[in-house]
Amino acid sequence: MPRALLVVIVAVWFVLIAFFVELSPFQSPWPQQRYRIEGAEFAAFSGAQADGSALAVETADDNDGALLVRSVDIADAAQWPVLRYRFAELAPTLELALVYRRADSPGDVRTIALTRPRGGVGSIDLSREAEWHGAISEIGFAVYPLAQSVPAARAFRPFRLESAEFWSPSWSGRLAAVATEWSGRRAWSLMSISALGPDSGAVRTRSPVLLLAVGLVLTLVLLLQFAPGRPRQIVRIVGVAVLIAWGLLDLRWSLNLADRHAATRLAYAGLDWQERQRQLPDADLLDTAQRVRTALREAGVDPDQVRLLVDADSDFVRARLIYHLAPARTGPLNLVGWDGTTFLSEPVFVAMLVQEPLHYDAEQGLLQIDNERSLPARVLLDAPPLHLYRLGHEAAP
Amino acid sequence: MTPGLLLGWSCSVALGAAIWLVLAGWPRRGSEWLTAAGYAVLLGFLATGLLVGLQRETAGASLFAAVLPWLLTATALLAGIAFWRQRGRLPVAAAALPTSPLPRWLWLLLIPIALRFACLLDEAVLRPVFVWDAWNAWSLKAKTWFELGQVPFVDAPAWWQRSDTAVHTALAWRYPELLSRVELWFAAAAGAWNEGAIAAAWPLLWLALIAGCAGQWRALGVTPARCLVFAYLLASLPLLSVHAGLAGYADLWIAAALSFAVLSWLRWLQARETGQLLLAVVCAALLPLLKFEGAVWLLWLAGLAVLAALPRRWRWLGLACAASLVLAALVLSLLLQLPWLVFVRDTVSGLTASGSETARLAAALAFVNGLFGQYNWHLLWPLLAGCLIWQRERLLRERETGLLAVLIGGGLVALFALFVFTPAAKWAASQTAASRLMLHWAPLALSLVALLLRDRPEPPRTPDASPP
Repeated sequence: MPRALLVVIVAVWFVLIAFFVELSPFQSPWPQQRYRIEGAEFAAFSGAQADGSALAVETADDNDGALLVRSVDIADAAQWPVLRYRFAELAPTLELALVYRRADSPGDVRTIALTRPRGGVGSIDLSREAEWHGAISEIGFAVYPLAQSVPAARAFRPFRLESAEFWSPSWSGRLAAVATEWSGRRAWSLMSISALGPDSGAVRTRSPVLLLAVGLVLTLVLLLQFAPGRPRQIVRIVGVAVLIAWGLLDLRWSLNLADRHAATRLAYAGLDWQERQRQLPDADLLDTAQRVRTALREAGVDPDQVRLLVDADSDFVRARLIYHLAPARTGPLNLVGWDGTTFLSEPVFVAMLVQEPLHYDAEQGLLQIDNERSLPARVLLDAPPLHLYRLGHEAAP
Repeated sequence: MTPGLLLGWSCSVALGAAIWLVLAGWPRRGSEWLTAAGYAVLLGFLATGLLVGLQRETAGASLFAAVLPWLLTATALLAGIAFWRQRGRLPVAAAALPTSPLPRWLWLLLIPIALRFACLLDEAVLRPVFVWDAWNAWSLKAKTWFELGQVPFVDAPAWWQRSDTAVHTALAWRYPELLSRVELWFAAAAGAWNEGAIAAAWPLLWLALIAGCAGQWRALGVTPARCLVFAYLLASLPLLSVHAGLAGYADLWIAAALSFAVLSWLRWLQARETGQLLLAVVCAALLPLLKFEGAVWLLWLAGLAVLAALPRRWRWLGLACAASLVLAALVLSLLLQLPWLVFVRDTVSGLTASGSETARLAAALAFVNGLFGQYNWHLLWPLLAGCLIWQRERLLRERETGLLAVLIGGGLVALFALFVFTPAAKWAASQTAASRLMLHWAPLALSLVALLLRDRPEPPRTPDASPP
């Protein structure tokens, strides 16, 4: 292969990388200013103590996580677009977010989800965040259990905040932020079954898969154009390049899968299957379902025999509550509606897990369904946000 | 893992192996053992699910004891038929396919496959049923049936009107029920509603898919070295791994059944092995029992297979007949107000789901991004596009390769049309369905790459062509 062609191919790859990383030609290669804050300078609401220059967080707060904050005096956030954060021993069951207050609205606490870095240090380019502007009066880190995929009670493990550092705009800052996004540790979410990438929160960078694909196509085009007489060599070169690119992506995915699995092991390994099925991310809904079944039995009915309408504030909670209630004879209210209650002589039960319950007239024993309709009913359980009613004429007092 | 669960797995796989033996005969090459092992898992698990449907009254762990005699009888019967057909003909090794020696270092590719399988199996067993439709659609029925027996799930009006206290309803009341019965079988085998024990079937199916595809690629003329490389590539596909680890969705089962049906059909096209045609028919027939999309893929596959089987001069006539039949069925359904039309309309128009319509362009971009930009498929689709351009003349010259390309192209066009030109676009834009349905075609897309890159067969040596 001519040496000039090799140089052109390497140059094309550099240009492509710069495009996909979104490097600005107007920035310096290195940050002109740095503002470093040691971990020990942060304060936690509970369970933390200084350990040298770091802050060691040994126990979780009441929310099964930790909130670490520090006052700062950043006059113009735009001058400090890159945040580098260094944590040690941060468990894969924990999520991480930057919290901050702006001087123009000190009552508002703003948050930006952070990617857990593969190495010790992570970076984020805050210039892409719409709310990161003006004067900043306080920053901090919120550490909390993974929202959807691990039981909150089993998520926390001690960790250390080593340091935080702000950088002025630079190529190296942008590269570090993109490297964190491309290689960061990810966790399972409900979205993971449908698409990988959008399942880990906001997508902040261009796709490395697309970068490799476009780069390989351009390499092939250059080879065909400028070294057309060597088809076997071109096939071999491109074939090897595809395998290397595939291998790189698979290495990334293998590490990613290992991170996700590590969270699962941390939450569930060592428990028997009955305990695993109790230790759920939505264990509170499982408890709610048990309370409903118990209340129905106490009312003298078999929960698997009677019609039980179920409603909640969200589709997820309603569906999940129905699963936990199984094998109860449930009818999701958004599917079955109220109409059948009017012609049935047998009792119908309603379990609602809602912040704003239907109006219940205790004197008349009527449950107000909407402006035009009310049904005779009796309250079996009133433990907001859970409400359990028995409908039917014989139910009214 | 309980002894009951191991027995449940073993019996199901033995049934699947017996089905393979009856349809395709005794494996005669090393690669065919691999194929048989892969098919046995899929066929065995699903055939067991069908048998479970015969014992609707029995609930709980006693279902295992109720189904086991049926399962053993079916296995013995099928194995007996297979051995009777084989009588007097000892299984002899077939002539080895022409091949070059396999470099030993290539066997190292089995290590990442084994590690991935171990990780996925551990993930599936440890994590209670997690992803949305897994518990909302498939496991809800199975969990209910485990406690109460296989009570019917009906629509909302019937749930209100029928006085039978056994009647249940759910959002997914009309989903096909075979997969729920497979879950029910493994719960019964485990002796309890043990979600980890049930979920282990998904990583096993993942491994079976890889084994079955690798064996079929070999039979279709791909060299052993490339089979191994492509087996690794298939195992490395991220979204395929996700569906094995986060067990509970039907898409991996559709992918396996569709892939096995198509690869067997291609083998029949290439070598006219009747057993492979029968396997293709059986695997294809299972598709609508798993998921609605399976019915669409079955119709598309069957239509293309019939068209390909017709003599060339009859094809236009066949196409016209098929179009007329579809039109007639539509008109008749409209006139009779058949419920399937309402269902299709509801599904496509999104009445059964929440969300708002999205611009077509955004949906198209999201669809393409799912193929080329996200982390779902590594470089599968760019690689397929490149190989199709590079090896385009093979599509015309090699019948099975061309037909596979048409089949995959039709599937992709159908999905693109669904997610761009109908209100289902919101599911593409929200990234919640498009890539999952692409999973059905991903193993076949990799199979097409393998066929496009296989060595060209040497010209047959006829007496005339031989040197004197």
